[in-house]
This record gives sequence, C-alpha cells and structure tokens, in this order.
Amino acid sequence: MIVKAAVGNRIYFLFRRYCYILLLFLCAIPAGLIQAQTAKSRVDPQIAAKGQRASYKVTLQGVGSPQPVGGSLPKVPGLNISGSASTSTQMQVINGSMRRFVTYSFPLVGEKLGTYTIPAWDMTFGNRIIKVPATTIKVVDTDDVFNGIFQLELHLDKSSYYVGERISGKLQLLVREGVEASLSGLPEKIGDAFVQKEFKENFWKIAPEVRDGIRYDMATARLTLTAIKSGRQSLQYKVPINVRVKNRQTRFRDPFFDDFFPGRNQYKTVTLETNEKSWEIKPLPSEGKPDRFTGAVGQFEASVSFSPSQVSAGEPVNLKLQITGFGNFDRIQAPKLESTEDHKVYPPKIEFSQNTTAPEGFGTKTFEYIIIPKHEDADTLMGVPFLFFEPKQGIYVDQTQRPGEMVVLAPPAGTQITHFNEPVVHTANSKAPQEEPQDARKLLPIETNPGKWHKPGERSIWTPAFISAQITSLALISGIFIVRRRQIQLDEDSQFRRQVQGTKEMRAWKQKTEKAFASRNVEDFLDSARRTLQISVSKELSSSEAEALTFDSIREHLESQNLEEDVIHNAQALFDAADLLKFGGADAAGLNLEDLNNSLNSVLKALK
Amino acid sequence: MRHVFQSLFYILFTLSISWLSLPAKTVVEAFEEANQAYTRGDSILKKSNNPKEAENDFLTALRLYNICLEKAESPALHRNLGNTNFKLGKIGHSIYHFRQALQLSPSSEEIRANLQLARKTAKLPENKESLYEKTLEKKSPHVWKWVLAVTFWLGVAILILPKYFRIQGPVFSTLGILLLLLSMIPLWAILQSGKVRNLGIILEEDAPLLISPTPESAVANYLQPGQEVQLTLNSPSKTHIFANTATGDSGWLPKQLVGHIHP
Repeated sequence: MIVKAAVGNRIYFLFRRYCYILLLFLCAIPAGLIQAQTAKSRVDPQIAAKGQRASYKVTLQGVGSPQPVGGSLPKVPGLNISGSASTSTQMQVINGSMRRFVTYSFPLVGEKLGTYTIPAWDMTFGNRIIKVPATTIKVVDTDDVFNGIFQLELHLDKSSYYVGERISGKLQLLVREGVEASLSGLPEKIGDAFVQKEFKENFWKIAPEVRDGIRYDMATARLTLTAIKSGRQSLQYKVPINVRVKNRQTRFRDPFFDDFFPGRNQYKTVTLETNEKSWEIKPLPSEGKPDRFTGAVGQFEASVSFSPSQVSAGEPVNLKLQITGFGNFDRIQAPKLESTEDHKVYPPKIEFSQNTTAPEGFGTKTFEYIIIPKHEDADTLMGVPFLFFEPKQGIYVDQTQRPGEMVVLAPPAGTQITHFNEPVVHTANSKAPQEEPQDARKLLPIETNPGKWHKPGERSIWTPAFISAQITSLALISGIFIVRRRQIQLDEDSQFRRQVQGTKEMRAWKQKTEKAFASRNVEDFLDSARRTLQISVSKELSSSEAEALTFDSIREHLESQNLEEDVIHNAQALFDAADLLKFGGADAAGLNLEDLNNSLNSVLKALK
Repeated sequence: MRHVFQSLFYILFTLSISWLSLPAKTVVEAFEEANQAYTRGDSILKKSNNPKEAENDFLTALRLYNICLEKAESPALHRNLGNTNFKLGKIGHSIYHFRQALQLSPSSEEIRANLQLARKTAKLPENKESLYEKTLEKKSPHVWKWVLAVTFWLGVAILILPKYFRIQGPVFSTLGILLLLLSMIPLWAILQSGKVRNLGIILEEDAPLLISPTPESAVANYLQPGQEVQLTLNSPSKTHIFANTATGDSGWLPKQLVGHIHP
C-alpha cells in the first residue's frame, strides 16, 4: 500500500513537471503567432556593377512557415527583377520569445547606370497582404563598385578659431554595410598646427547611417583640438583599418565548391585619410593684451575663498581659486603668487573636474594654495590674478580676485617662527612628533626653482664655448705678437724694410708684366720684365737702387747666388731683347714673347 | 562589423592603458607636480605625525622627479630627490642625490647641510674636510676653469707683449709671472674636482662586497648605505663593478647597489 502510494506520488510529480513544460511550450506558440507581421526589404549588394547579379531580399517577420507568395512585383526601368524567388528561414529567440523570419530573394540585374528605388508594394502571403517597404540600389560601372566603400571625414564646429581656443570636432569613419573591417590603430593627426587631446577609452561610437539610400556602419570619434599656429592651417587625419578580403586563389574549378569551402580569408591593412581641409586660425590680438595674461582662452568665471578665516601667525591658510566655464582648461596656468614680507606662499595643488552633465569642455579647475601669514599684521591676503581671452567677443577679460581680510593672531606661547621654509617649528617645550624621525625636521626644504637644466651626465667642463674662448685668446695674443714684432723689425732693420718694400714693388711690376704679356705688348712686357728683375736683385743688395742696376750687376749677384748658367743666360736674353727694342730699333714682331716670358719666370723662380 | 569594432575597442582600450600611463609631461611640469606632491606629503606628515599617511605623496614626488631625471638634471632636482628619498627612509639614495647636487652646485650651503644630516642619519663617520673642500670646492669647476683661462692668458699677455710695445721695466714681467703662478690655483681646483670621477655611493643596506663578480661569490664585507667607495670604471663585468672602500677593503659590487657620482 505504501509502495503504491510512493509510485503514485512519483508519477504525479513527473506529470506535474512535464505539464509545466508543456504549458510553457503551448504559451510560446500563440506568442509567436500573435507577433506583428512586418516586412523589410533590401538589395544585396547595395551598390552593384552594371550587369552584376544582385538579390532583392524581402524579409517577413511573424508569418510562420514559408508559403508561396503573390502580389505584383514592382517593375523598375533599368532594373531586371526576376519573379522566381528563393526562400530561406531564420529563427531567433529574443528575450525569451521565438521569432521566425522568412526571406524571399528575387534575382536582380542592373541594366543601366543610376540610383534606383524599388517602390513599396503589397505582397500576398497566404490570405494575408503585407506591405513591403521601398529600398534603393545603385548601379555603377565595374570600376566604381568599390568607390566610397570606406570614407573618412573630419568635421570641426567652426570655420575659424583663435590660437589657443578649444576646438571641438569629430572624425567619422563610414564603412559600407556588409563589408568586414576593423580598426587596427589609433587615428593619427597630420599637421603640426593643432595639438589634440588624447582619446578617451572607447572613443569610437558606432551607429548605422544611411546616405543617398546606401547604408553604412559609421564610427564617430570626438576630437578636442587646440590651434597653436596662426594663419591658414590644414589638418588631416589618417586611420588604419583591417579589411577582410577573400583569398583569390580558388581551389576548385566549380565556384559552387569555392562557395561551399570558402577558403581562407585574409586581412589587409588599409590606411584611410581625410581630405585636406584648412581653417583660418587668428592670432590673439596684441592690442589690449594684459601683461599678466598667461594664455587661458575660453569663457570662464573665477571665484576665490579661503579658510580658516582666523589663524595664528605661522599657521597655514588654504586659499582656493575656482575657475568654472568652457574652454581649454589645460592652458590655464596656476596664477603666480609670490611670497611677500607678510606671507609665505607654497605652490598650489591643482585639480580639474569635468562637468558630467554639460557637454565636453565644461568643467572646473581649482588651485589650492597654502599661505602662511608670517606675523599678526598679515591680515590682508594678496590678490589672485586671473585673465583670459574670450574668443566669442574677441576680448581679454580680467577677473583678478580679491580674497579679503582674515584675522591673524599672535603665535601661541611655546611656538617659535624661525624661517618660512617650514611652516612652524616646535621648540623643545612643545610636543614633538613621536613617529617622525627628529632628523627629518632638520632637513632643509626642497628647492622650488628648478634652476638651469642640462642633459643627465653631461658635466664636462671642456665645453665648446670654453675651447673656442681659448683658441680665440691664443689667436689674439699670437696676432698681437706677430704684428708688433714685424712693425718693430720694419722700424729697426733697413735691410728687412728694403726687402719688404722690394717684394711689394716686384709684385706690382710682375703684374704689369703679366698684363703686357696678355695684351701681347712686347715693349711694355720687356720694360716691366727688366724692372722686375732689377727690383728682385736690388732688394737683396743694400747699396744699389733698382733702376740703376745694369745687367753686369745682376749677373754678379746671380753668380754670387751660385745659380745655373741657364738662368743667367735667360736674364741676359731679357735684358738684350729690351735694349735691342728700345735702343737698337729691332722689330717687336721678331721677338718670341712666350720664350721671353718663360725666361723671366725661370729667373724669378731661381731667385726665390 | 559592429562586433569587430567592439572587440577592437577592448584591445585598443587595453593597449591605451599602457600608453596613457606614459609620462607626457615636460620636465618643468613634472618637476612642479613633484614639488606639489612633496609639499602635500610634508604637510600631512606635520599634521598627522604619521609617515605612512604621507608615503603616497612622497612616492608620487619620487616618481615624478625620476621622470625629470630621465630627461634632464639640475642641482635643485638632485636636492629634491635627496629630500624625498630621505623622507622615504632611503638614506643611501638620499646621500647619493645630495652628493650629485653638491657636485653641480658646490656653493650651496643648504645642500651641504642636508648631506651632512643624511650622513649623520646613516651613522656615517663625519667627513674631515680637506683644505680643498674647505676652500676651493665651494665653487664649481666651471667657475675655476674660467678663472684659470683668464689668469693664464692675462699672465702670458702681460709677460710677453709689453716689450713689443716698447714698455720696459720689471713690473709687467713680475705681474705676468705672478698671474701665471696664480693660475695654478684654479688648475689645482680643477684637478681636485676630477678626483670624484671614480666616486661611488652605496645605495642600499648591507650591499655585499663580493670576492668575484658573480652572484654566487663569497662576500668579503657588507657595506652600508651612503658609504663612499672608489670605483674602477673600466671593470670588465657587465653586472658588477670593482670597488675599494676607505677602510682598505676591495671587491665587486652589484652595479644596481652603487651610484656613480659624475664629475
């Protein structure tokens, strides 16, 4: 009896479990049946070459099993749409409900170039009539099929900007629907007239886009730029993408098998570039530019506060400057507050918070200074300068803040203010910190001024400037030494002076000789040659004037120098020729000028 | 297409994390931020008396100062690195940077004071200052080289040139010789400053002085942070450097445990 009851219970529980499953299944069918019957249409590919076979696809949702369809398929001049459709079904489970899609593909061939819209039409499905929406196809030349398959566009919000102004823009990458592509790197800016803020994480936003009836997947990246050069400045971007392409090497003769065994796909990297565009970048006006302007550009509001309002001398006061607005916050530098006799100022702590509820570019920048009043009379805090350029109006705005007064009390007993590198130094009577090493207190503070920077490890004292200075010094002293020594020698040594002057004169006569030789003037040549020889010899002799030297004197000198007989002969030939021409009435045409010139040169060479 | 984009975003995001963390600051910006971090840390330390609370700020300052040091150096940078390391308890590094700062700015009494304090904290014996250290070391070799150049060339000029301007008498000759003799002083200062060419500072505690330049070598002695050693710079080992201590010990030190003072 007990066994029977147990078996009965088990059957009951099994029955109950399967009843639930059956109930769920039965509920799912009407849910599918009561789905709205809708249709979508598209042409695949959207842009086809003239004569290329495409498919006009009508997808029905919520119609159950495929059935023969009817209705009047639209006729579009220029397109040949065949009525014999192939059918495919697809099931999808979305949020627990099952959906069935039935797709009818009608073969289509574009016969003429152009953009065609297949109009909306009524399709009969069993005894139901379903409205099929219109769709577009573009028929192009075979060469143009891949034109515009990828597009990279750059859009900035205005046509002109000021230097330093925040620029909002966007980079749009359009990839024609159905093309498999992926980004393979960050967008790269071309051009040095703009600086760009780093991209945030997940900076690409993707959305479908339809342009001229063609569907694209559009990725948009927001850009934040700042112009740094004035004038007409161009800006371009390039983006590398990986595109999936089919390996063209087919392994089968029949394309059916290639479709069935599609082979390996390859990814190729393509770099897209935006068209070259330029923008007018205006320099910040020099007229009315305040001296203390540090480069902030935008629309800002500044406010200042400090706390506590009552301190003892030597205790820190937090002075907070808050700048709220829109613009290039990166360019807002900390206002320079100098330490005075009344206050010691420490470098500020800088914070920036983006306004999350407002568009990008709105935010608040805070500069928090620690200021220490040095004595009880230091109750007036210094002004905090803040100036910026407002690009909409094109003016400079001065929003210098005056914090007002605070109460400064005398330092408490037992506290001694020594120097203001450390805010307050406790005396031995005051409670010393327990955990901090006592030595650390004696450590002198950091240096806030970085001083002169130089490359690490470059400490050689023999710098180029130093070496150059030594060479210059050496040259200067040597130069003075040489010049002065020569001047003294010229003053004191008549033989040296004679030689120097003789050399100068000889050079002058030699030049005349060369001139006469060039102009083929034999008379001048011989006259100059004789004088050249006379001077060359006379500068070595202390007693003779050059003009008075006869050939005999010259021969005597040449022989004393142990020169070869040929040299003496050449000198004589020159003197003889000169005498013959001048006094003997010889014909100049009968003299060989080349020989005479060679003779002169050989004598001068030997004399050197 | 969309899935491909999404998966690519994750890859790009992962990659961009490393890129974004790269220092894109200028040296001056990094220096300024490091100063702020140090001041914050110092302020916290004074308020709370708890070094742990200030540690993060000091570590930030140290990181930023080191970013600067990769690109450029200055006496202030080394001084601040010395301070930051001191606050973090890294006495060896602190002494090393104070020594570097002093090398760049020998006249700075603040750096000298901090170096002495760091040496005292490291319980190093007090340095007996040599005549050079007491006098000429207070000026940089860069100053001395110009003093040398000026006195030498002036001496040469005064010694040689007057007789070529017909100026007679012993005054100029004496003055010239005197200037040439005086130029020996800056020359000596420059030669003395070059002595630090081989100077090294022990950076970490219990740095092992090894008998041979291998990690398995027996240890001859252990050196303490801030201790000065003379280095043999053309050591053949890539990982170890030969060093002599002031007490006469010698051996090999792992290169990462010793900081070389650039002359």
